[in-house]
Amino acid sequence: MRKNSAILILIFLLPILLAVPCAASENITKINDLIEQSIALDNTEVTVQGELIGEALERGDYTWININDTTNAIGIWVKKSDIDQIQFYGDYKHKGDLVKIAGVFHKACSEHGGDVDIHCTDIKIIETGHNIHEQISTYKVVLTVSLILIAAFIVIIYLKVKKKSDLKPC
Amino acid sequence: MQKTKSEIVGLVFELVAVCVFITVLYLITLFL
Amino acid sequence: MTNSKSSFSSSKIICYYTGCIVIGIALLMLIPLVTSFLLREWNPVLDFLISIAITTAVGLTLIIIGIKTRENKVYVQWKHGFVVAALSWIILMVLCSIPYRLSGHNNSLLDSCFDVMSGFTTTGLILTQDLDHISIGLNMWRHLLTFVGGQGMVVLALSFLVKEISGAYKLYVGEAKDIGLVPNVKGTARIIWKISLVYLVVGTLALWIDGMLIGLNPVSAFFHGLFMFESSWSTGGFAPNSQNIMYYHSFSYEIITLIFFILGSLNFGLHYAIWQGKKKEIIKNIETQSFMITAFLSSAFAVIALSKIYPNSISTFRRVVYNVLSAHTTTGFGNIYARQFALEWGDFGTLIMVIVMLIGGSACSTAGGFKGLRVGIVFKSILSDVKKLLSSERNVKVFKYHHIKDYVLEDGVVRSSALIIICYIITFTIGTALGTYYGYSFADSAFESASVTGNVGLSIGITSPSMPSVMKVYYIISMYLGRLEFLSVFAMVGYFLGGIKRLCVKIRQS
Repeated sequence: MRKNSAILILIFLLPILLAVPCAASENITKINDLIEQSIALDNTEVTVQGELIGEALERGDYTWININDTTNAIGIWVKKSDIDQIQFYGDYKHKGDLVKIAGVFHKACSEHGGDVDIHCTDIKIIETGHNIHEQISTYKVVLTVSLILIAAFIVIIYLKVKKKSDLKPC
Repeated sequence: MQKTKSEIVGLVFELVAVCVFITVLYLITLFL
Repeated sequence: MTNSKSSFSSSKIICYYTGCIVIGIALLMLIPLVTSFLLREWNPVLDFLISIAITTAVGLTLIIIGIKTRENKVYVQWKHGFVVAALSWIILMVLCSIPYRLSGHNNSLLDSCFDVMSGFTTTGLILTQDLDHISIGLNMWRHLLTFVGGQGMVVLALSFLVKEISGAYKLYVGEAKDIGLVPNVKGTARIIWKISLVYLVVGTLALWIDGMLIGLNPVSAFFHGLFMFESSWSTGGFAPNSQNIMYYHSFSYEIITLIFFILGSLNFGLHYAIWQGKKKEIIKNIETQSFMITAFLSSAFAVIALSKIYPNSISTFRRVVYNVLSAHTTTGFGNIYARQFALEWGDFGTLIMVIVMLIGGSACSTAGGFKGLRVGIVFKSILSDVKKLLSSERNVKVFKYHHIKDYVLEDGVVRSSALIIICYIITFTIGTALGTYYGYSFADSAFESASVTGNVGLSIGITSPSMPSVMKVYYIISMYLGRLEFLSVFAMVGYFLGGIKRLCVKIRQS
């Protein structure tokens, strides 16, 4: 009897126990959607996820970082101390860290002269970035060399023709 | 030398003139 | 017999000068090549080597075909000048798109050509993807193209390459630069370059220092400074970031670019006059008068309409006035997202932008649009016509305007100004119609079409790789027509049509 009621209680509790971690995973908004619904989402808590690009722009205790989630890019105003964990910023030779940012979205931030930004309340690194190693295809190298040879050949023809025309009387 | 001097003066003059223009626009924004 | 002979030598003249200009651009490609080499970006190094090889081959071949031009004292006519200017831009568009296409950041050759034409014409619309990861070499190329395009490719060639002076003036006018600063064209071209290069040093330095102050590291501050200056001065609007100028989140950076893009939109003749000590020119000149009036009015109306959507006056200044001036000078730096123009500014804001984008900057500058000179002339002619009606018939009034020198407001000048304005309006209207045909809203189509016709570069969201190809092609044509101010393109088309007609006649006769 006691065993049965214990099982029953567990069955009732289970969904509640499962629901709690589910509620913790927020809805990630795409940056483009933030802009499309900027009026509706202004001054609300949002979560975005994207690759860090460029570099961190320090402004005293706070820093600007920019993230790009392939739909668009946006600036994040974050405390300097919160970004110490960041290892890579994206550019030609690097893939930036993938971060998840929770914060308040502004479509025209009064603190920042009307900028579109997110004031970060929480930042998590989802995936560390890495160096990008260039792949040079042999085909490209062969193409380069052949084209240079063709161009050199035409230069020689040009010099010959120019010499001939220089010798002609006006 | 005289020519270079007038060019530098001209350059500075242009920069100042544009700054004045921008300031006037800013003041207009402030008052509207 | 003489007809076909003269047309034969015409094509030789055109080939020769076009070839010279192409070689000039091949030499220019050395700059991004060296940049990538020093920064150890190997794929771009190969991309630029390939491009240089192809461009040199094409340029030298054209020169070889027209080599007889060097020997004979050939008489270069106006039509040659126009055709060379127009033709070289098309050939260069394809050649300069090679590094873009090889980089993998463009989906097609058409997209690459679009970006090149956008650079040459200092428009600033882009189809390049993933800007945040492109090589510094390619960024160097993009911004260099817009800097050189602003000056003019023909002007570049004339300053340094072309030795024969006789044809030079006609080539120069073909590229829609008709201001004579000194009696000879090579001298004028050199002065234009000198002014631009002095500002290049001053501007890059200013942005470099400010860049470091706002948090960029010294090396990237230098490149950003260089690129953003080239883009500002040429009123291009390219930036090395996908967020354009929003990347910097800096009022000071915006102000510095504002200063340089306003200066860049002014007539080179004006700069030259002021540098020679004629400071009053800045007030007397009809173009600066026209610009000041239209800039004040448009900013005022825009601020009145839009200040309610921004929290304070600094925000309104940064987000409204900056963008209106960016549009008016046909620069194209945007510090709000493209879609925000449509979603937040509404129709009145969009209308103001369309009007200022079409009015544009000054003649013989890097700016686009109708040009302040034409707007000023047409406006003054309306005033003078009204005055003539109202005054007694015995009074003969002469109306004048001041543009470096004093000119009489003659009917011929008014007519040609009005005709070119009409050409711009027709081009703009076709672009708008095309946008609406493909399903975009009227306001959006008008905005984008004005941006393209006026070589501005602000986008309301239409320009994207998924845009219909027909629109991409039309926008390329529109940017090209707008920048070269129609005449040289019409001359080139006429020349080729004439050539085809002669060919058909020849075939029928044989």
